[in-house]
Amino acid sequence: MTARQFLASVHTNLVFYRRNRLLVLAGLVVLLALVISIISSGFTASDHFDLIQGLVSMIEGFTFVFTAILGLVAVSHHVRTRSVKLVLTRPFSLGGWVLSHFASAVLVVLVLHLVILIVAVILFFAWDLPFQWGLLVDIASSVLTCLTVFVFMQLLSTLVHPAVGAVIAVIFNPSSVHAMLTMIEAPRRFASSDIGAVFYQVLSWLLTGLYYLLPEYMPFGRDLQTVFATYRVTRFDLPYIVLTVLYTTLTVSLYLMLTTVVLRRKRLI
Amino acid sequence: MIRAQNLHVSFRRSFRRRRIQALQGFELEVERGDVFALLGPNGAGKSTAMYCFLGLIRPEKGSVSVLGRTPTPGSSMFQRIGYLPEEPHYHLYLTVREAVAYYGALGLDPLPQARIDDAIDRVNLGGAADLRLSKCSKGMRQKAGLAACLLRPVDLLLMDEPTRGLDPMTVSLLRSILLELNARGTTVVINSHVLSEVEAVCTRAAIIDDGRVVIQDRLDAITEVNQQRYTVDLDLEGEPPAFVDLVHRNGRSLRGEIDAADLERLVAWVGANDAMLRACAHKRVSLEQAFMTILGNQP
Repeated sequence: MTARQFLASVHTNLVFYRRNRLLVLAGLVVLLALVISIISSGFTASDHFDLIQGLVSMIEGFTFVFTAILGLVAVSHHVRTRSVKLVLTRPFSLGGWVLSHFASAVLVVLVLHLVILIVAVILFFAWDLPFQWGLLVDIASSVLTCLTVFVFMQLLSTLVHPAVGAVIAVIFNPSSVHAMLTMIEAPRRFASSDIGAVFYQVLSWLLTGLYYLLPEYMPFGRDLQTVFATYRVTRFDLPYIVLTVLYTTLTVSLYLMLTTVVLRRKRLI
Repeated sequence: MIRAQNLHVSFRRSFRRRRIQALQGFELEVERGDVFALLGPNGAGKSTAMYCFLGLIRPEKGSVSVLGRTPTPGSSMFQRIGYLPEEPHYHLYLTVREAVAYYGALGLDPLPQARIDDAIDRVNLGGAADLRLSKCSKGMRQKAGLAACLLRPVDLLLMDEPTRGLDPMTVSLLRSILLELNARGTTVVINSHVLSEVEAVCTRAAIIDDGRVVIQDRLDAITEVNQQRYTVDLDLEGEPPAFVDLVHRNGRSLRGEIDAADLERLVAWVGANDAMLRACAHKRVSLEQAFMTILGNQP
């Protein structure tokens, strides 16, 4: 795979994103939310810092959903329409093609977050607030979250229909699985019969396995909670930021690899 | 160029349905310079075989060698292979020009824009170059795919039902392009149902049925296979023997047909009578007749 082939694939992916109606619609919703939030914040009398924080948080939420949709359609569209055949019958590897989709998503996510950053910085200066570097950490964390959800959705959409993938992602996330584990903890400990005890034990193992398989979108979110709440960052937060980057890098690499393996085993005809 | 040995491929359409054996003991050899046709009824395994040649399907048993290597999707060997798919499975959100440029850009060497424009013009798609493939007719999409195949010289061109949905003008254009490519050294493998088209361009063919190659040979040899009849040209005064079926007669010259079993009797009859055997050859039949005969003889 050459850089020229890779860039050609990234360019075509971006054309696809631009011309896909679902993605355009989702993009418009993000844009609309941004505009409404900015306009409404101008008429609200509450604290300006809270307004910026609320605005950034809301747009990040929309961007997260947009990236999830992007992950669901990016690869699966080409597999379902079988146009991937025309890529694989060229000297361009499947892994390279999957990676090019990730690179395209990185570009889209970066541009979206750059817009959020610019809007937030403008509001900081417009309302004469001191700029807080924690905003950058918050936005960088959102970028990493989006990339994680993108690769996870991409993998799900190669395994099952994208709509089913979306449902699975909503039902099975680390929080819900953790809640399920908590729910079965009491019956597991105090099961009245042997069969019940075995059943709950097996279920507990399965859920624990699933818990570790599913990606954590904000791996050290609790440790960085102060940064997200105050936009103030200290040197004590640095290890958690580095750990978040490492976790995301590992997760993204693993899920990209799994997507490639699944596609390699699939009959793409 | 292509060697398939004892290929076995099976599919299961859903978990509840039983497996369908698409290829079973499939053996094929395509030689350099051939214009080779894969013929057979629907579901015979032609497309599956082609997917095996492209590495898109890995056979459960047997081996495939294309250009001396086992085909792997996305490998560098595809720099020397062109592929025109059966259905218009193209990137429909791209325009004709963008699609051809994209397929070209996935090659290992850079491609000048002029080459892309030339290929589009060659298939008479210049006027629709900026039209999205989703808005193009099936024939136009096929032309776009063909243009992508013309971007670089290739050693092997695989075409799955290339004439399906094409108008006669485009079929004629496709035929001339194929022959031109073949003259330049490209081996062409066509999977087709249109026997008249195959007859017009192909030098060799394989007839496939039920996942197996029933026969593979030169096209002229296939049209003679299993023909138990001879066409004979005789020169004689009187009436021909009863076992000669008269086709036409003009004075002393007559053309007739005999069963292969009667050939020796005819030679003996000519020797014993005042007659001359001017010509004797296997009765030529169309590819369609041969196809029907060969498949009709299958158990």
